[in-house]
Amino acid sequence: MQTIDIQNLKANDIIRKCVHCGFCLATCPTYQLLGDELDSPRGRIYLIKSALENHHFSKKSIIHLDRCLTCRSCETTCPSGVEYGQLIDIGREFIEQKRPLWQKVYRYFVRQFLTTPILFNTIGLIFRHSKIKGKPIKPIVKIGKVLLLGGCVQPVLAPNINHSIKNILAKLGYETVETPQKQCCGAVDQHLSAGHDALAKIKRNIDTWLKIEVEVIISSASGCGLMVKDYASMFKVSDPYYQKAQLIVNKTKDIAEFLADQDLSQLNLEKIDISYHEPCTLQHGQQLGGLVDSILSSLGYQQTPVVDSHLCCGSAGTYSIFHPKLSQKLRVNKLKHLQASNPQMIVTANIGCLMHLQKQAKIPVKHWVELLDNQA
Amino acid sequence: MKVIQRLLTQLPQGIVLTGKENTRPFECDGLSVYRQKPLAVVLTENIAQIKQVLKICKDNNTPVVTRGAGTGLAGGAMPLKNSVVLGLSKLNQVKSIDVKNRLAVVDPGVRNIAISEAVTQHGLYYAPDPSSQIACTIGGNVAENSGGVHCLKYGLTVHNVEAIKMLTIDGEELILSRQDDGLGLLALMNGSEGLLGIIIEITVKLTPTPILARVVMAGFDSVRECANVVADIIKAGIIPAGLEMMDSFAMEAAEGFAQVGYPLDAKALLLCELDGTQTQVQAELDSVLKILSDASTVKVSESEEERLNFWKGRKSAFPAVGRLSPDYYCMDGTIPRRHLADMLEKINELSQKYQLRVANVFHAGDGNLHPLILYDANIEGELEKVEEFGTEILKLSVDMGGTITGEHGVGVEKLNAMCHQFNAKELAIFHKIKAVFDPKSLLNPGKAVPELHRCAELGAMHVHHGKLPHPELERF
Amino acid sequence: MPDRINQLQQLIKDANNLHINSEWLAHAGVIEYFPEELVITIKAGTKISNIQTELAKHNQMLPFFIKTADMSIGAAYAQGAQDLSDCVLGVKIIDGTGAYLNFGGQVMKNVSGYDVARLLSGSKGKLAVITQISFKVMPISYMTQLSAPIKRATTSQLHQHIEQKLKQVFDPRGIFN
Repeated sequence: MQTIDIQNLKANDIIRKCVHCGFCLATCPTYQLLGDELDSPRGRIYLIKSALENHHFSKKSIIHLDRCLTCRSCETTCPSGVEYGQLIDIGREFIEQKRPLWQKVYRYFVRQFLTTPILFNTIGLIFRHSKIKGKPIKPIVKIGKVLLLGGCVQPVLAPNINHSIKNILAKLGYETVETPQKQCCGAVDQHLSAGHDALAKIKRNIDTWLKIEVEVIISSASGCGLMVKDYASMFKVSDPYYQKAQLIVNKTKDIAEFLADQDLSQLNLEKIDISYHEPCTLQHGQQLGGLVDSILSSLGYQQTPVVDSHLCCGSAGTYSIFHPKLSQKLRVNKLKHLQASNPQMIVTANIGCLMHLQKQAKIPVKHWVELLDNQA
Repeated sequence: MKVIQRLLTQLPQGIVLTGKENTRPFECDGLSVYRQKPLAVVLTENIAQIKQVLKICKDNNTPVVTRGAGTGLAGGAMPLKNSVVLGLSKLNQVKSIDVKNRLAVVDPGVRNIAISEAVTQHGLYYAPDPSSQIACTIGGNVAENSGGVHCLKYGLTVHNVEAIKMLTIDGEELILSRQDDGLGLLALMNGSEGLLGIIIEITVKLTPTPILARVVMAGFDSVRECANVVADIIKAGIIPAGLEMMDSFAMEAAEGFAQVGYPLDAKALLLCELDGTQTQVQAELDSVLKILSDASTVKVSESEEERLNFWKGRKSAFPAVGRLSPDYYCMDGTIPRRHLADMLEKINELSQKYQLRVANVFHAGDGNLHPLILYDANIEGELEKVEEFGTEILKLSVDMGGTITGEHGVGVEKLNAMCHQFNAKELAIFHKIKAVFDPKSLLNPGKAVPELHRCAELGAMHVHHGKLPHPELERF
Repeated sequence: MPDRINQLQQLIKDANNLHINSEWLAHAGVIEYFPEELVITIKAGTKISNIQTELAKHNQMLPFFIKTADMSIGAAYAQGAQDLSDCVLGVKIIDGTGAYLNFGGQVMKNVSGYDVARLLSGSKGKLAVITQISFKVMPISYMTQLSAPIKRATTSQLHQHIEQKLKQVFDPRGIFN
């Protein structure tokens, strides 16, 4: 009960910041598709408020909260600084009590499947996107050591991403330690209202990663990176894990943040016409919009601006599994805009978006770092 | 309720929302202090459904409140007791673009900025730009006759609407055009706050995108100095595309969100946009910079990106104030520009009298003020104090020869203030105009124009000329 | 000046049938002009050419197409045109019951109440007597070539019906023709 109260207080603080201006409607992908305010951030804040205040909520509210992609586009738009992403997690956890049993079972299964390597790996291989290309490179001079987050599904689906990163880092003089697949960041649990399981994973990760002596923790999947950057907010300030989490958060960087400060002139680039899809977790979650764009531009990649680049592609973690229709609509729109300039390849910065877009794209979809490790 | 039953049975599944849980999120618009749950919300998908809703409501004597994005700031889209909310947000297509004649035909639920986005490839845009333009709908813009930061030069909504198609309460279609010979019915519909009909299609005028636009950002040591510069710019024969002021408090809030680089040590900030050809802009810029010689800081936007960034802070200033205070109350009086500095001093005095902080944001070019009174609704009695404060500001606006609302509309919020601006005979004319279109008073009834007994009870009926400071002058 | 308004009010109260023109109105002159506000307020019987002379002193002009300056501003307003209506900020009128009413004002932005000031532009003198009008004016340097606005008579029965009903709002006794 106590946790609910604490969550309630936090929710209250967040809700009070909302001045009801409605700016968020404009950039919410589901509102844009459905035109129903209950499928907008402002409407969902209302639903959560009602639920928390007087427990007037039913399956109807669950539908609308579930439909949220958690892309946090609204947070970028919100001038009042409403931390919607945190609020929706609180709201979802709260309404979970009314969720039909069959849904709970289904969601539990999906969650376990994705985050348990032994379950995922065999089936994941069937869906493998791309194999490792080229040989691993060893650093000639060592100027530092970094911890690279391996991710839970990425090593199976697209192992070349981290392979490329390791090669790039080696050329820049960094030795890489990669976290094993089982050390999932906890995002899948967190966003499927399994805060407890998420917290167990988070604590384990914090304890393990603090033992490794590195200055930087690098994430190549912006979704995982965002989750890790949010670790501290999962704990009360008085919790001993808060301080520890803060240490992890301070070290964590998206690969783009790390490479932005490096001299990339010695890398071998794959020269190709590209279109870049910015993941929501990078632009809205980590608030790093435009960073990858600027790196790619500085490397000579010419890009035409993508229409509605602030909108989600429909992948959104497990969203594409639970809401295939909406997810597909968003993908159709996204691909139309991404391919408007007739590129030869789409690049992005998160494994979820990559897999999702590739399913329907006629051209290859890759992680942008793969462009920087051309061994051909 | 019979009306709910009929809506549910006669309209497609999923577009009729009923019950507390689903209707509560619609209980207010952008003005959240006034709230009322409707009987039902119908999110119509086509004109036939709108007609159906109107018929059902008319048969059952049920009030209809039309709603776009619900971003209005006066409660115009706030549901009424036992009313049906007619949501038009799903009607959001730009139907056709006529580049040659610079016109676009759009659905009422199209967002203001989406029109500009749809025509930008043709070197055109839709000029009126209320601060909520990313979210607000064009139908709502027409209903409120919305303004924005660029209307000094490019006009209000009424100046940029070529024609509309509307439905009367009887479901009959009426087309009104600027070319109609006869009464100004199109102008009448602009700003009619959903009381006269349902706007179902709008033909908007498009404006060529200026070759160049630059914003001058200037900081001042006093608000009065800044206000005087505004008058000087117009006096010099310059019509800036936008001319906006913010006080230090508003600046601080906007900066917190947008990180523009506003001069936070200044007491007042002026944003002055100049647009046109390269030569025009340069000539105006030279004159403006001369006028600004006493400003404490002056910065001119060097790129389009920087220009938009300067505006970003201004356009998000209202909600950004949400960072400084749990609640705020936004005023919208307009006064003749020459009284600007006096008004600001008065507001300052009132702020001290009521012990409430005020952040000032305004369209200085057209004398439209948006003082934001900061308060905390959780403190008992504070809202009442705010309302009293607000009423004093609005009375002052009227007494200075201005108006109680420049662009936000009357809605439910400024009904009392209307009693101060209009006398009983004028208000009676308004009621009769409504009756021409809506004899049973089912469209947004009770909004925008106060009932006469309300004004009488308030004892605030229009003050006649005798009581004003200069009785020898005829006033407005 | 208020005397003339009183006289007019009385005339209207007593009348059964009135045709309004500038001579009958006999009410002319500039009431207020604030060049730095871009606003001028004029009695309706004022000749347009006189207004133009006044504005030209400050390099300003009426920003709408003028077919002939040898006509009163009230007449131009009553005939109505899109571009003229766009510049109207407020009017004072005497309605068919003799009531002296004020709609709109001297400010560019005003959304309080219905826009009667623009509604009556084009009313051909059949709804009310217009006694004064406030206009937005512009610096001459900002004006481009003005062309005659297009006008089309409406054929919609509903439209005509509404106009009829609106006449009854302002002129319930039907004295203006």
